[in-house]
Amino acid sequence: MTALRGSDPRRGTRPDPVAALLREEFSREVAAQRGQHPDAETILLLSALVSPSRAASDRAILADWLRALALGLSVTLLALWWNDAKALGEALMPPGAAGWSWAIDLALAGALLALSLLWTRAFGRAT
Amino acid sequence: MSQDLADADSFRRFYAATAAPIRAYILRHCSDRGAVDDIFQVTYLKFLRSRMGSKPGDHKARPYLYRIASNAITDHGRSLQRRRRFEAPMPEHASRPGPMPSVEGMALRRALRTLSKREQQLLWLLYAEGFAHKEVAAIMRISHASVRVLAFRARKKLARRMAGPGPTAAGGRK
Repeated sequence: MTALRGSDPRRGTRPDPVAALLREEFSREVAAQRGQHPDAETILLLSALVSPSRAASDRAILADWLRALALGLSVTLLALWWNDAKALGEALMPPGAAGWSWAIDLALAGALLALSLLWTRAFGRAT
Repeated sequence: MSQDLADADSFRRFYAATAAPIRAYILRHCSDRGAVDDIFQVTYLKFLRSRMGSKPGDHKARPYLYRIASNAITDHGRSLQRRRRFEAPMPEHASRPGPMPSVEGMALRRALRTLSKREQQLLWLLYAEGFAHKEVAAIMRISHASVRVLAFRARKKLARRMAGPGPTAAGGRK
C-alpha cells in the first residue's frame, strides 16, 4: 500500500505536506548532483597520493606516543633525582671549579625546562 | 593486500550511494559555491583517513561522513570570513537545480531560503537523508531533545512562511 503523502510509515506519523514537499525538493537536488562529482577511483587515487598508508599512519601515532612517554619519564626522573644529578655533576667538575655548583643548578633547571617544553609538544602531537 | 582491495570495493559501493547526496548537501549549505568541489574531496579524503575509512559498510559510516562534511563546511566558512575582511564579497551563484513545476514547490524554496543555515541543515538531514533524531544529534553535536524541538519549530516556521504573503527578503527574520 502506498504511504499517504508526507507520512512517515517508519515512525507512524500523520501526513505532513511540508515534510513531503521537503523530501521532493531535496531528492530533486540530490538527483541534480548525480554525475557532477568525480568517480570513486579519483578519490581513492587522491587519497593514496596525499595521505600515508594506514600502517604508516599507525606507526607514526605510536612513535608520537612513545616520544611523549619517554620525555615525560625523563622530566619525572630528573625532578626526582635532582640532588643525585647535582652530586654527579659536582663529581665530574674539575678540582678548581668547586664554587661553581650554581652553574649545575642552572644547567639542570634549563634541562628540566627544555624537557618539559619538548614533552608538552610531543604530548600535543600524540593527542 | 586483499584486505586493501576489499576495502576499496567496499568504499566504491559506499561512494556510489553517498556522493550525490553529499555534494547536494555541501552545495546547499556552503555559501561559497566555488569551494564545493574542494570541500567534497576533503570530506572523502578525511573519511578515508579516519577509523571509519576501513569499514564504510558500517551503519555509522554515513552519519560520520555527514559530520565530516559539516565540519569542513564550517571550517571553510570561518576561513572565508577571515579572507572577506580583505577581499570583496563573492557573488551569489544561482546553482540550484532547475525550476520546480509546482507553485507550492516554489513557495517552499523561497521559504527555505529564509531559514537559518542550522535549520536548513537539520531539515536536510531529517528529510533528504532520513536520519534518525539520534544520528542528527550526533552530526550536529546537539542533544537528542533539541533535534525534536528544533525540527518542530523549523517545520512550523516553514509552513507559516509558505502560507503567508511570502518573505520580504532572503535571510529575513526567523
